[in-house]
Amino acid sequence: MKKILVTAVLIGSSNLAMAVMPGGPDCGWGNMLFEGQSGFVPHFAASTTNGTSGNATFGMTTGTNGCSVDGTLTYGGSAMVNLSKVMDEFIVDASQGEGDAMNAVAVSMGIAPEDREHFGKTVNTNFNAIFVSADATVEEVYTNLLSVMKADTLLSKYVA
Amino acid sequence: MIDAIKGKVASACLCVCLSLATVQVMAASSIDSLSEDDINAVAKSQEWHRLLHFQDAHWWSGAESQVDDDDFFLAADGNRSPKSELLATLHGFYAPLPAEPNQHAICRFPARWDYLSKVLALPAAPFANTQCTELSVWRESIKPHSVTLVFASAYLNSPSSMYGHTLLRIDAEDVSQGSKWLSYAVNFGAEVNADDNSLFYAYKGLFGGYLGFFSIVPYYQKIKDYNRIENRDLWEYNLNLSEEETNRLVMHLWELRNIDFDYYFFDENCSYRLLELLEVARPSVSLREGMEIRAIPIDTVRSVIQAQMVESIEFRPSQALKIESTIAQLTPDLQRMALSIAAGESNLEDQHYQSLTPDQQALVLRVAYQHLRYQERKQVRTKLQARRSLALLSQLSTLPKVEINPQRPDYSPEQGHKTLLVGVAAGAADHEGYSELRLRASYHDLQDNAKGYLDGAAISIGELNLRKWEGDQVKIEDLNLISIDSHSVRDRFFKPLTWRVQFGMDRVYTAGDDDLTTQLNGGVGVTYGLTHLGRYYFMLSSRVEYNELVDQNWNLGVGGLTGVLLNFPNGTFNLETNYYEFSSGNSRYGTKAIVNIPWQINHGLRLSVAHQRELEAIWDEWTLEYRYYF
Repeated sequence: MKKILVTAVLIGSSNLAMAVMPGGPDCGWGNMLFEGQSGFVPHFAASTTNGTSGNATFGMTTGTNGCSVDGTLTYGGSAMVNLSKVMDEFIVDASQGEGDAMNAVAVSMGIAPEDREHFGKTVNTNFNAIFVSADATVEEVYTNLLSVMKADTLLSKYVA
Repeated sequence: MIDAIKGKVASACLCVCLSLATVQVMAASSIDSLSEDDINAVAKSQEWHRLLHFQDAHWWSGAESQVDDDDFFLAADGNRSPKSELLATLHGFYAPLPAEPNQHAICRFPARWDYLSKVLALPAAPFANTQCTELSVWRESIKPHSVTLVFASAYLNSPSSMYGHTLLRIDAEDVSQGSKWLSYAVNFGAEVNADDNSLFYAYKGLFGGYLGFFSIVPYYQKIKDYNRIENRDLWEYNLNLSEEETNRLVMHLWELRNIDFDYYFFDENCSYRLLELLEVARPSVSLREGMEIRAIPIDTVRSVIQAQMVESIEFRPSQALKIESTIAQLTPDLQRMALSIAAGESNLEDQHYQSLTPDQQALVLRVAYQHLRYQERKQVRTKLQARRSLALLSQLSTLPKVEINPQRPDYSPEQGHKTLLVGVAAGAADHEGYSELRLRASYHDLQDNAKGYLDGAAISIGELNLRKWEGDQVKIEDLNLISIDSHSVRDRFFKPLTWRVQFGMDRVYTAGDDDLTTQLNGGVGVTYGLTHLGRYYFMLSSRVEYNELVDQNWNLGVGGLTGVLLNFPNGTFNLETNYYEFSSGNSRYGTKAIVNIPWQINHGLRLSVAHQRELEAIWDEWTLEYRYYF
């Protein structure tokens, strides 16, 4: 799990938050593989103002309400993608072996451009080993993904 | 003067190793030695005004900064006096280092420092801005290299978003090798209270009351919000800002962190603020001319294009467009199969399914999955649906890849007709002639040229039509405050509602009377596709009228309407019939046909023929109008 770098994030107030392990309460990391949209968004309102409620996010955070620290994948210690936020897209890309979400995850994990196609194919071939059940949490999916990569000669170097 | 400053620079450099207090003394004296002329020149400079978001006086407001937050100013009167703010900033730069260096003016206002230190040849700062840890960590995380202006096109079922929305994307150097999803999106929006209800939102959004602020989130979150949940196409205009210009933009953005602006829907909105950022990035351009009271997102895009800042345009289709293009690859028979699999009514052991080629199977499953997902946009997914979704994807992973390539629209949004309209017309009714003059502040109706706009969607705010009968004086024929039409087509997969709302004044012609009547009307119904050319629709509708010239001031009508809207390659045709029963006891029947022929995008010729009957009174009129969009 070396690649899960818990990154202290800046939220509005710009205090450097205390780092805690992902999966803390309300932190959006332990959520399910398939999470529905929770409730109806008042579109009329939201787009009059193009705003979101409350949370003045200013980069370096995935902006989860009530959550100061997210478990994020990091790319060269900078750009980040939170797997739980792109799971919907990632799982479709996994069924196809390629796509924008697949690419974002690959880049986040530091996978070199020449290995990304192979990464996509490997995830595709091992679909059932990575996405074992609809009740799985994103963290479980991620653990499975790392196991699959470890077992692959080309990809094992990225999880060493 | 220059020699003197050079001397100060030298001494300031020497002083780095000395105590901080000494630096302060040296630096402060160097500020004092700046000439009054230089200070005045900078205080009046366009660059400085832009950094302060300072706006010159207009008839509707005095000269002041549009920033509504004391934290943005170091001088007490900084929001009204650029010169006071300049002096306070200069002193701030050389103020003692506070216990928390990140609070020092050098760290808080890096763009001001960048500009002022160059233009005034200031001595070195008392400490290097690498000591601004928060700033450097933040900047390093964004890795600014280039900028893209992103236009989120109209969203059919959300009235106010029918104008579209813009945001900026800041890309790292290796974005083509890496992932645009990981770039950062800069958004200006209002901070809304989740407890406010929709009407309250709308009111405050339009007339003020919300505070606007900048936020920065990963671009993939915006793709999710707009592309997937709201089904809006994204148009990405890659800008030719240099790395230095990009950096200036990002440094100024840092100055605006947690800083409040007043938010207004029409002018001081998302798009207007982004133009300000681009003007800071490239001081030689002026992008906001003519947008002080009305900044429509697509007009701001045009302004950026006109300033020759756009290098290339990319199209990111919405989820709905992707689904539609996948569905279009299936025969009606296979579409029904996909629906039945999505609903769990048939399974993959089905003989018909088994008889398909692997490519066809993949398409069917993909459509079934997308349909399930689409249904779940607005509700929490059940466990059953989750299991079914996973099973579909698992099966898909063993089948050939599905190619989804929605066609990019022939016209990008900025190629559509412009957003202001003036029209002149001639017409006749009852053997009497009239002439008309129309003005519309924004922005598109159902019959206008749909190229670059969303088919079947219309929003107009602020439209006045004056009519002069032969031998009579000029009168208001109608005044449209707001009208919105949303005609999304229903099919096997999508079941959107059609709706319409309109509020304003129009002239009601009854026996011997033509009173200007205040009215509100609206309807809800359904729209279906009619070949590839257009759509037809049915709606239940109602209309409330207020007329102070008649005995019974209020009149409530209930009825229905039906119509057909066709988009031919060289024009639009709309035929609509409506019928109302009124509380006054009268019934009213009307039919209207409109042919709109555009040429060169910004010109149009429109012929309208209308027939109306109320009681014994029959009213027929025809109008031929020349329309110019500018």
